[in-house]
Amino acid sequence: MNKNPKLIEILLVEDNPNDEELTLHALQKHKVINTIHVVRDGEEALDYIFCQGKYSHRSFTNPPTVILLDLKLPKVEGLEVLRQIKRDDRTRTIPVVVLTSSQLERDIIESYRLGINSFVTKPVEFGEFTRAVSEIGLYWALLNQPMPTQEVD
Amino acid sequence: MSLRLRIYLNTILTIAFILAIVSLVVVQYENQRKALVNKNIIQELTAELVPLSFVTSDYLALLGEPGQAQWQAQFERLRTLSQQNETISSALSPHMLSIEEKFGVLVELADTAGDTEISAGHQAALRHAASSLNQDLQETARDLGVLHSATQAELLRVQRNTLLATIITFALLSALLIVVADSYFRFILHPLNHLVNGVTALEQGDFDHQMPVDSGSGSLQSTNELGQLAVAFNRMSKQLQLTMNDLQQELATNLAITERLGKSEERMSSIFRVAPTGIGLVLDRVIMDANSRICEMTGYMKDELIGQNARFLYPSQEEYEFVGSEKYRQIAEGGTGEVETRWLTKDGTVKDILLASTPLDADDLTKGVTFTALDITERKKAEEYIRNMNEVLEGMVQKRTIELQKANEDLRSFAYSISHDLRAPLRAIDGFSRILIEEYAEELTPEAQRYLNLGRENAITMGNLIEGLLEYSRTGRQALHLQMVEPETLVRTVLADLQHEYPDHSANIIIGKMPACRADAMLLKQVYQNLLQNAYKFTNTKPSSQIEIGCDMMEQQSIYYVKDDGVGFDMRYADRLFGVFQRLHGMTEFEGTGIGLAIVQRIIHRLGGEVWCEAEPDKGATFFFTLNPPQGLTNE
Repeated sequence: MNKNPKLIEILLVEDNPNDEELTLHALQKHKVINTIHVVRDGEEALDYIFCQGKYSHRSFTNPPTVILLDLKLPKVEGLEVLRQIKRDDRTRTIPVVVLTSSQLERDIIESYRLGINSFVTKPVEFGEFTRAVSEIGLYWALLNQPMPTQEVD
Repeated sequence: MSLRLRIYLNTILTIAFILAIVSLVVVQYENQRKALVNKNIIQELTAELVPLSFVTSDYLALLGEPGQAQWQAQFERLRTLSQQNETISSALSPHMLSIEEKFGVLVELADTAGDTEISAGHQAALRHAASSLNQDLQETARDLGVLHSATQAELLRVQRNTLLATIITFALLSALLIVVADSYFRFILHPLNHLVNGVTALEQGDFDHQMPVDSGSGSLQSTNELGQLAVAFNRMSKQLQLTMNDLQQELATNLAITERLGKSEERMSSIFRVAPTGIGLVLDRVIMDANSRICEMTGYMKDELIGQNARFLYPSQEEYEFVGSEKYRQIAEGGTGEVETRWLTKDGTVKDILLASTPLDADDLTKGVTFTALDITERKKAEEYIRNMNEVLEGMVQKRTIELQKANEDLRSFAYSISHDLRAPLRAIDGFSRILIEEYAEELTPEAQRYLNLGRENAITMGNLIEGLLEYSRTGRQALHLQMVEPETLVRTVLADLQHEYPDHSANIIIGKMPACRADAMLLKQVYQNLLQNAYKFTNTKPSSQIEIGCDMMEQQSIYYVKDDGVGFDMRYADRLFGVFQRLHGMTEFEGTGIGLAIVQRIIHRLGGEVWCEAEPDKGATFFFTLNPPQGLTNE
């Protein structure tokens, strides 16, 4: 995962605007300053990752640094998105962190089987939530230099 | 003496007597003949004397040679005659001599006389000689007469003797005959009579009859053959008697046996005839015997079945051959065979038959095979029906299973949805409230902050309630993975987590020996988690406390327990303890949703056990649970 330190890109796949806002707030609060791109459903996520549709201008040589994936998504389910990412050689190596409020075993097993890097249950309590996200954020933040500017779609 | 001897003797005696008689007769005859001969001679002599006298006279007359020759011839004749018998001869010989002599004298005289005149003296001498001769002749005649009388007397005497002898001998013979007859009667006829009686008695079945032997006159004598026969016969009688007894006994026994056999045969026969199952005997596929039930089943009369090859009972050649090969294969392998087949009855219906066969002699099939036939048409119909029903039920079950699975699935996704969708707003509430509190604190009055906090707390509570409900729901639905678990291991893990959660809590933990048990590890851990969390929670008010975890190993089952000496509760409200969201303390005293024990109870019930508690206010509480039902019952 040797990346150009200047282009740390986080793809946040989250349908819930509240969760989105809280996530972004948490990241910002803890000074995780990266380029964060938000998509609101599974289809859009796939378009983004696979450089198709409205994101056909993107290229595979420039994948997101990490994908924060919510499992419950409209149009295409999070697991399906995950499956497709991991099935394709071009996208398999992208680190995926699953953010979800689901504690169901099935999901856990499925997710690990599909080779995610981390699984975080979105806790109800905000402190936990921010800590979980920031741990991930900090990790990458440690690896990468923070960008002075940030773009939020 | 023996009869043989007796008979010999009798015979000899008889013969002797006969000989005696014969010889006597012969002797007497001879005597008589002799006497008669003598008499005849004498008569003849006498007769011949006369001629001699004449001849003498003649000679005297003539005194010639022819006369002499004539006289001599006649004399010779006489002499010859007399010499025929010695007695006569001796009696007459002097006479003869004298006569001869005197004749000689005469002759001499005659001769001397010559032809001339005979002198007187000479003539006197001649006359003297002649008269002397005649005298001799007369004497001879007289002697002959005497002889004749003697002879006559002799003859009479002989005759008389003969008669006497005959009488005597005949008397003796009679006596002999009487003796013989007596002997015959006594030693033969009477004994024979006894023998006959004996045999007759035997013939009539009287084996006790013994022939009298040596028991007096007229009985059998053991010394002779008949007696021995009688003895032997008596012995034989006795033997026959014994044999007869034996035979009679044997006969009686045999009769008894025969009767028993007869009854047994009767019974067997009856059993065979009226048995509710068709029974029969078959030899090389030919029906040798069949009972009434077979007849009923097939619609054929018994005589239509016996002697027929079983082929006609089968609806097809294949069926017939299949039964044959299958049955004999089974018999060869296991000694008996059973096969389901179909039979064709007389009126054309086909019946399902259960045919079982066993050979009468496993090693010799030529003795025949006995078979039973059971009409299983109804049974097969029932089986068919059941099969159909089962298929239908199976289909229904499958349908229901699918429905259930679907329902379960629905429930799962429902829970999933709840989990996700209900928490999202809660997160939002909590999150934004937190931001407000943290980042806009200066602009909020303490009261405003309190309200926000209350709002947040309630969001959290709601989250916990949802969590609890989901937990509760999950413990009921998820599959059990039963394995042998060590409770101690689980307890220690739970305790480690709890220490982490309650770092300030100082409790004296005692873990007793607990046997391994068969349970779902995760669910049991949940149980200990909930129980121990309660223990921690309710001992938190005390500065020091003791929590005891262990197991009472009873005979029939193990009773696990978690005991604390915390705040306890009033047993009056114990039955509410395990209800969903039931709490015996206010929210301000102890936090909690009141779902923990409900979850514990649900899990324990699923693991086949029971849970209960004992407590006292301020003295603490002990929660007991069992995992398996008492020994002897199976659990799920």
